[in-house]
Amino acid sequence: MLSSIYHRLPGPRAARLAVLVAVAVLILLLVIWSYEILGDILDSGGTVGE
Amino acid sequence: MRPRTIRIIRGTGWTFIWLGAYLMGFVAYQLWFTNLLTARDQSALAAGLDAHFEDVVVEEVEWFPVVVAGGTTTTTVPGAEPIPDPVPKILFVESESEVGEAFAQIRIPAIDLDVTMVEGVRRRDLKKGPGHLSGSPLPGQPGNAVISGHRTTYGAPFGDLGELTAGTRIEVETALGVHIYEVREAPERCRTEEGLCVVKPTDLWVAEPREGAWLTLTTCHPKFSARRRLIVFAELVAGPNAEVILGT
Repeated sequence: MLSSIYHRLPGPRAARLAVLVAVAVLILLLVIWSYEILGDILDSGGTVGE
Repeated sequence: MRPRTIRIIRGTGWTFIWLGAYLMGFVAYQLWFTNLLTARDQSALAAGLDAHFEDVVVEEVEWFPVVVAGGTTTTTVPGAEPIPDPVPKILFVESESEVGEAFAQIRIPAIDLDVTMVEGVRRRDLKKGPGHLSGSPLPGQPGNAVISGHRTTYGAPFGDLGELTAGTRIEVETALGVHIYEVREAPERCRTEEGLCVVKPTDLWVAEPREGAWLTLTTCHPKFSARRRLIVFAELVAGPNAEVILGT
């Protein structure tokens, strides 16, 4: 997926690579954020009435 | 096979591969990576705890337990006509910590637990370790000190809370000193066949004020589910304020 984005991007190689890294980091942050949210189903910390 | 059909099959296959990778990542993140995060935070909290103890302001305050007719010392009997005890007792009181900061160490030798606790029970607080419900008394003070902690993730400090039985010793070290609690049997209203106290997350009565000095530990139940709460009640039996509170 990332390689197809890379090949479709215009501009010099360095700029395309920078965009690609930014997209990868964004995806990683989204995935971790979703893990945190989903994690509350497994273990929310055990608070009462919070 | 037509190219369109091949594309659909290939797309479906990749979708399942990505979904599988996502779920494997989720399991690894929850059961392994969160433990690393908490271990790092615990190291930092433990290192700063002694300095915190030195910063805490400890005061001696006059405490007026309420004596109800019949001689029972209490503050919470509904409907009773309380008569203030004319003789104040001296209670050691410590200043509260900032939310998110370390404030005490909890040790339960029976389950090999020895972790630093933080003030507050926000999500970010409980990632560091067990958290004290702000607004409830601090451990070692009269009333009901409520502590919550993770059971399966973020170091799982309360992972073995279900193994505690009546009489198990719990030590909480604060700036005042070490407060010793003993686990009491689960109340009938929440007792399961296994003798555990299991309630809904909305059952606020477990955090209500109580006479004497109590430590209430709460965590998720059953393991790998946040559907219910496992509650352990422990009563103060020794410590800097025990004689004053218990009237012994």
